[in-house]
Amino acid sequence: MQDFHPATLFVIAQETLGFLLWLGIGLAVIVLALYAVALIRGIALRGAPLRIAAILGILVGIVAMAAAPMMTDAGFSHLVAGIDYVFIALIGIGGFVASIIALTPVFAVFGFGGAREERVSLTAPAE
Amino acid sequence: MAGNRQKSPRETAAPKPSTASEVTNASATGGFAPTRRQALFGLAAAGAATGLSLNASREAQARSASSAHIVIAGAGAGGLTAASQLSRRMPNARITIIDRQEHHYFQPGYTLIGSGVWREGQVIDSTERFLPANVDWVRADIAEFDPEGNRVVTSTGQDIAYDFLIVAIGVHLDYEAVEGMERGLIGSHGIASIYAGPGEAATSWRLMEEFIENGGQGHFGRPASEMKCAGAPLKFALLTEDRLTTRGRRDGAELHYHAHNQGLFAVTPVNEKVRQIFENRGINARYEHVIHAVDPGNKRVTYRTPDGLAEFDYDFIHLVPPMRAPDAIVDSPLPWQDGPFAADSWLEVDMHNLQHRRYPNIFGIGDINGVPRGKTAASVKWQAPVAVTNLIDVIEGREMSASYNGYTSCPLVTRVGTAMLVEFDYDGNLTPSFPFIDPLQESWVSWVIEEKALLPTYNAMLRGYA
Repeated sequence: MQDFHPATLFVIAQETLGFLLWLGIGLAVIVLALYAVALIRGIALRGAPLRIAAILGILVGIVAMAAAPMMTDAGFSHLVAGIDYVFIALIGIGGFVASIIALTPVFAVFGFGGAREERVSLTAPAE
Repeated sequence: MAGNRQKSPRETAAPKPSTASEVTNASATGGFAPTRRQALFGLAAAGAATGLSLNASREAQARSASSAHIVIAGAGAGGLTAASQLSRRMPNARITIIDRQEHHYFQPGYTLIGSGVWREGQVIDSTERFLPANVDWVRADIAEFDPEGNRVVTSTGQDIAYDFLIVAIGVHLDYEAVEGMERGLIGSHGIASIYAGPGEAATSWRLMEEFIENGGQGHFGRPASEMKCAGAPLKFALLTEDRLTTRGRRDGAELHYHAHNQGLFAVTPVNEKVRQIFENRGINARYEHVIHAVDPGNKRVTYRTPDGLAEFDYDFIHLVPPMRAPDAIVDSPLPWQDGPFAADSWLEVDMHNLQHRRYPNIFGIGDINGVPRGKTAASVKWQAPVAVTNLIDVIEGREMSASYNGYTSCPLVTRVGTAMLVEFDYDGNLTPSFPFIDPLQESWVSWVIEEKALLPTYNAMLRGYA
C-alpha cells in the first residue's frame, strides 16, 4: 500500500486542501524564515512570546476540538468509540502545538509581549 | 487537465545525495559536536533523504521500456488509475484510453448525496483532469471486442488494434430487469435509486425528505446479482432511519430491508453486527426476498421468495437494480463461459493475477471482473497495481509477480456522523488498514474517513498514487 508514501500524502493533501495547501506551505516558509531571523539575531524564543503563544494555543486547541465534529456534519453525540476521543484530543493537541510553533517566532521577532533579549557574549572581558 | 499536469515531487526532486541512515551515521560517528545550526541543517537533510529513499523504493516497481500499444477500455476509476500508473511505468508505450464520458463521477459519494449530506456537484469532476499527458483519449464507447484479432471497434466506427488490452468497462445497471421499472421512473412514485448517477442520488434525497415528512412503508434491498458496493443499500436504509429519528418522525415510518439470501452482509462478523444494529433500530429484515416487479402507479412492489411471489405496498422504495456486464462484453468471447459469473457475463479473469484466462494479453480491473467480491473503488486501488505489474511482467517475458487477495473496503455508514470501516479479503477475513480502528465498532473517526478522506484519496489514486 502506498497510502503513507510521502508523494502520495502530498497528492492527497493537494486534493484535500486545493490552493489552501500552497497557502499553508507559504505560511510555513514564513515561519521558518522567522526562526532563521531569530536564530541569526540571537532573539530568545522563550519568556513572554512563548507564554502568549501558549495561551493562544490553548484557545486554538479548544476551538479546534469544538469545531471538528461540526465540520464533518456530525456532533459530539457521534463520538461513540474510544478512538473518537483520542482523535479529538489529538486535534486539540495539534492545534495547541501548531500555534506555539507558528506564533512564538512571530511574537519574538516583532517584539510583541516583551523586550528583546540581548545577545550575551561569553568572550567579553570581565570588568 | 492533462496539459496542466503538475510535476510530482519525484519529478522535481534533486538527485538523491545519500540515504537517511548514512546521514544519521555521519552525524553520529563524525567525531564532532554539531552546533545548533548544524543540527538543524542535519535534521532537514535527514528528512529529505528519508523521503527520497522512500521514492527510490517506489521506483523499484516493475517498469518497461517497451513501445507496445496498450488500449484501456473505460475511463472510470479502474481505467484512469491504470492509465496513470502505466504512463509512468512504461514511458515509451503508446497508451490509448477509450470512453465517451467527459465527466468523472465519484460514485462512493452517491450515498452521501442521497442522504442530504453532500451536494450533487461534489462528486462530479472531469475525466481530462486525471488523464496523463502521454495518454491518447478516444471519446467513444466500445462497440465490439475482437480478442482473436487484437482489436476493438468503437461506437464511432473506429477500429483500434492493440498489443495489450485492459478491460475496465464497469457494469450495466439493468433497471429494466425489474418488471415495470425503468430508469426514468427514479424520482417519481416514491422510487429512489442512488446508483444511477449524481442527479438521481439528489432526487432520491428529495424523496427521502418527503418520506420523512409523510411517513409510511419504506422498502430497501439489494438484487441477487453481483453488484458494486454491496454495503450501499444497507447504508441507505440506516441513513433513512437516522434522518427519521433526528427529525423526530421515526414513529410514522416502518422500514423493511430485503436481503437476497439468508444474510445482510457477506462477511460473517459484519453480518452479525449489522443484524444487531437493524434490530436495535427497528429495521425489519426480510430474508430471501429478491425484487421482481414494481407497480409505480399503485405503489406496489413484488418480491420473489422461496414460497413464491410476495407483494407489498410501499411509500418510499430504494431500488437497487440487478447488474451485469455491458453489452459489448456480453456479445464478445470475453465473459466466463460457465460457473457463477457466466450468467451475467462477467469478464473471465484469474481472481489473483487478473489476467484473462483465455487471452493472455488481456487484463481486467474493477467492476467488470468476474471474481468474488471486489466491486468497489477500494478494490480498484488494489487491483490496478496488480494488473499493471503483471501486464509489464508479461511484456517483459517474466513470471507474473503480483497477486490480488480480494481486498474490498466498505465504510459502512450507520448514521450521519458514524460509520464502521469494514475491510476484508476473498476469504472474508477482516483486513483493517488502521489497527487502532475496530472495524466492527461504530465510530466518528470512520465517518470522518468516509466523509473527508475518501474523495481526496480516490483522486490521488486516479492520478496514479495510493
